[in-house]
Amino acid sequence: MAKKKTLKQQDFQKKKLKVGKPKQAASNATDTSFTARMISLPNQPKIKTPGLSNNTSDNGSQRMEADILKRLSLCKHHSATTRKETLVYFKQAVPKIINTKCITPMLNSCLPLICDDDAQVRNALLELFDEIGQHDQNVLRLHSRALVLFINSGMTHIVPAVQRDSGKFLKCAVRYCGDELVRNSWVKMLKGLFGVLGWAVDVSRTNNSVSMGVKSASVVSMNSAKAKRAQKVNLETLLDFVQCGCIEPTPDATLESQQAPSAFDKYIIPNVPQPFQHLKLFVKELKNEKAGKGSKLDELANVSLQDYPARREVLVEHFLEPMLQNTSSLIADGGDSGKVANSLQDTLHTIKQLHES
Amino acid sequence: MVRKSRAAILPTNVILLQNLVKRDPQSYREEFLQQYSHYESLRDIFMLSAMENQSADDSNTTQFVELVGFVSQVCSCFPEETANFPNELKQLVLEYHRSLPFEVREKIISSLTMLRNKGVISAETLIQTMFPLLVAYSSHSNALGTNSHAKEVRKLVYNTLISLLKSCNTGAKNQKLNRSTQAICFNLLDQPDSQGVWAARLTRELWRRGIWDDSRAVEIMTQAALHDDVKIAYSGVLFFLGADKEREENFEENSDDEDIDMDALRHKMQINKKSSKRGKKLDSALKAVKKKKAGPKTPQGYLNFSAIHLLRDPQGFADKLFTKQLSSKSNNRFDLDQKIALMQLLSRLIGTHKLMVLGFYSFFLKYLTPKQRDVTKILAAAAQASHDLIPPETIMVLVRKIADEFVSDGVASEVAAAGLNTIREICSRAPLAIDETLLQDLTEYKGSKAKGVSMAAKSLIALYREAAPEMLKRKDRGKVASMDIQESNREGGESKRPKFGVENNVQGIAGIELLAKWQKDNENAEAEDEDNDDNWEIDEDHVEDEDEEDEGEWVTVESDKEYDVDMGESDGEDKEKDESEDGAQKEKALDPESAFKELATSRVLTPADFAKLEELRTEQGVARLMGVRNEETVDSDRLVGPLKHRKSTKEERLASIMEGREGREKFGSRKKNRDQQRSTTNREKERKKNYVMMIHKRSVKGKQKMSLRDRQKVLRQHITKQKKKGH
Repeated sequence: MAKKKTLKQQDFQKKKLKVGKPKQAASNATDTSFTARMISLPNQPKIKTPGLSNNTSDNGSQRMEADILKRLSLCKHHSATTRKETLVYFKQAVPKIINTKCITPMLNSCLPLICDDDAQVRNALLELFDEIGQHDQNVLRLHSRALVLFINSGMTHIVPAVQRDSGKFLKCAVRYCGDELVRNSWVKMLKGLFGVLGWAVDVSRTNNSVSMGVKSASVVSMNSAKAKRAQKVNLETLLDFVQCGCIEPTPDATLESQQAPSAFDKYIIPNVPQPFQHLKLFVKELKNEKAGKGSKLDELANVSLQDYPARREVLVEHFLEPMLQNTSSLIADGGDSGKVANSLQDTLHTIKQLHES
Repeated sequence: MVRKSRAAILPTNVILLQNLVKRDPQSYREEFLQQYSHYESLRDIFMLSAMENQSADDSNTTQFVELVGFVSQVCSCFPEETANFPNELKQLVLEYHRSLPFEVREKIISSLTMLRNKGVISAETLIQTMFPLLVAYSSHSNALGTNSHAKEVRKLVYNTLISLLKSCNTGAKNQKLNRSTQAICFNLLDQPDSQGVWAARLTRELWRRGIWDDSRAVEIMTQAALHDDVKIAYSGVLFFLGADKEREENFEENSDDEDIDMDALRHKMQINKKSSKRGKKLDSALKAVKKKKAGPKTPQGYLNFSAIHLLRDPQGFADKLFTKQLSSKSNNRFDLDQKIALMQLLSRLIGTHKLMVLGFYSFFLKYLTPKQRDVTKILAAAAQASHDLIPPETIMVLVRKIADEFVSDGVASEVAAAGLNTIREICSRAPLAIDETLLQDLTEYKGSKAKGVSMAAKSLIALYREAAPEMLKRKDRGKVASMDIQESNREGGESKRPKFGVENNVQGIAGIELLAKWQKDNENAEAEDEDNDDNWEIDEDHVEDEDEEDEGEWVTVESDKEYDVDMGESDGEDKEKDESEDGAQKEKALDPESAFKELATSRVLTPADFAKLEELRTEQGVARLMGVRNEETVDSDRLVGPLKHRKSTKEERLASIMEGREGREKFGSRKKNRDQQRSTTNREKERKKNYVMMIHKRSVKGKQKMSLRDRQKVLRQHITKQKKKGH
């Protein structure tokens, strides 16, 4: 017993430090050292800190940039609140950093949040995009390709809420960089919107299957208030998108007079960030060996349509029929979405006339 | 209830949707299309991020992985819509594998495998995808990223390839696929860098499993063995040395898995209570047995040809192997073990096919010193490489060198024994490789005090008593040999001493005269037995029949319709035998030619006959002289001879020590047990508890106060319990 007691007491005695000898390790110390050729932290990207100069003029914006870069990883934070707050912070910072180079990494890490599960985060992101668009449209234009990809990914998302909200993003995008969108991804976006609205693109092909061309999810949740609201927003988006893509803006008389003949246009600096995007010089796409076999619509999916008549032709050929059908049934239902559907139908009729003329 | 039914039709995750789509593809077409376009958008995102060298999002990765799995699972339901899907996967993994995360790569590879299994893509397509990956991720290709997981990918791809080829070759062989794969292997070996190592590894593995067993596979390994790269060449050499053994071992392992006794199982089913579990057990056993029976006896139907026998051009291969790898100036790149393996392979080739690589024997001279590391292996190779078609002068140099270096009074007895044994092995293959004086010198060692040496010398004498007794000293010749010599001297015939170039090969079947003789003896004995039987039978029946049979042929009794046909034949033979027996005295010494004619024309030799023939030949000691042992490998360990006190290695010593410690835990240290972290059990606590604390407890006191009857009861219970425990 006595031995045990002394042993116990030893635990609580303070070890005497000796000169020239290292501090003795505790008996329960865990060895955490390890050897590795390389340690990789994939979700912590290297931060290229801008050299902190003492210049008083740059100091503020540079610190801001560094701060933004530090906060980028918070976009992947597990807590939805943190993500939202990060986006809100970004939004506040937008006026200061809009013309700096840190806007690209910021957008790159923000874009995936279009498919975020949390509604608040998506709303904050929408506000952020809005803010960016208000300050400089060209930023969104520059990133239009990535934007389209993520919006499309949201449109086909399996969670209905994400799917419904993707219309909002598209609406925002159409507002600021509509021209790029309709040029480069006319068919893709239309198909996506059809999917969101629950409409079938080609009714004729589905008759060999049992399905009604309508998703079961959209049938079940058709009558909820949320769905109704979202339907209205999405219809508006579709209306905006179709108008932007098919109806030429009425040329301003004063502007016309100022503008030089069209040949002159080619020799001045273009006013869009990527004027030759449609050539797809720096884009890789997978080859489709069986290109001939698919339907015409599949072929068009990656083709950029540069002018209004071409877009109108595609619209009239593939999308007009189902759109008219669905809008007429929506008008019959009435309500807010009925009104929007009505104006959409009017637009479609004008487009048809334009196409025929 | 409402919620539940809703959940059943509303797919909220991909797995659920997959289940629904599989059950009813037509109804869930729209959902599938949505997910397919989601896959497409994610794929584009991945490609974009690959272009810009960013790491893709984690959530995106998991989603993408999920979707790739989903689409490949259900794409057989929608062949039109997903026509391009496999092609896309292929392009993705081939062109973007550097920038894709490991999970995605892994998933794509497994999905492609699944698509192959479902028959969506052909096996050729899969192989065309896998080989570039294998090459890209082999360790020598540079510029792999930090998180490339090269090792895992390599392993995955390699296993995929093996299982693909295995599944394609079960049942009938898919020759077309094998050919194309082998063509890829040839191409890999043609390339100067070390990617050919994969061809070698793959071929070896497939050979081991008996999937490839044709000469094309062997040809691949021939190219590998002649490759410039050391690693590839060595793997090729090892293939020829060891692959067949590996294959045999592999099949032995497979074959001796548990044998199910069906009768016992059935019996158990009748006796025991029937339950569904037992029924299932019987079913599965039945299945296993059926499968075993259905499969070919030799798996994959392979014929037991060793790789060396399947060589297309053994002489050319051996020449190239010697000039290019072993004796060229650049042979420094091989270390000693590899050189020895090369020597072993070459000598085995030469021995098996009786090839001529004359430079090989002088090459050995450099290595034949007692101090040389692993010299027994080299000695064995030297012995293996000699055969009777090589000019004796060439081998004589070798024998002289061995005799000089190894067999003298100054060296250790093991060395001398090894040298003598090697010379014996060489001379058993090429009896002319030694001259008379040297042989007689060497035989003097029969009186050595070291057992190994004297045994080796005596075996040399025994060999030459049969091969060329004239070369031995008179007293060593032995009774039979010296009598033969005397006889031939008397008759004035030429001596039977072997000569170079005079082939002693046989027409027909070697040793058939022995079989004929043996059979004759046996048949005589049998015939006597038969006669006896007949006598017995006949005695029982009628005595008259016996007379008739003895007298002549006209035995056919018409009333006896069911007369055995065999009996008639044996009667005929009996007659023949009677005739031949008369002549047997004259031609007692059958010459092989006539024996062959007689036997081979009269009947078909059965495997049992051949077995007997082999037995008889070994009895005669002919087999050794015929050079049959050429194909046998010379065991390098046996060359040293028997060792009484061999120094054991450390492992053996340790093993013997550990053996002595078995079952003595009580006396050993408990050091190991102390490390096991655990708390004391309740029983331990109970046992260690202070005696004074326990003595006043009721449970203890109560025992003392128990009545005699109760005490008896408890005791009895205790006894039965202990008995049940088995104490």
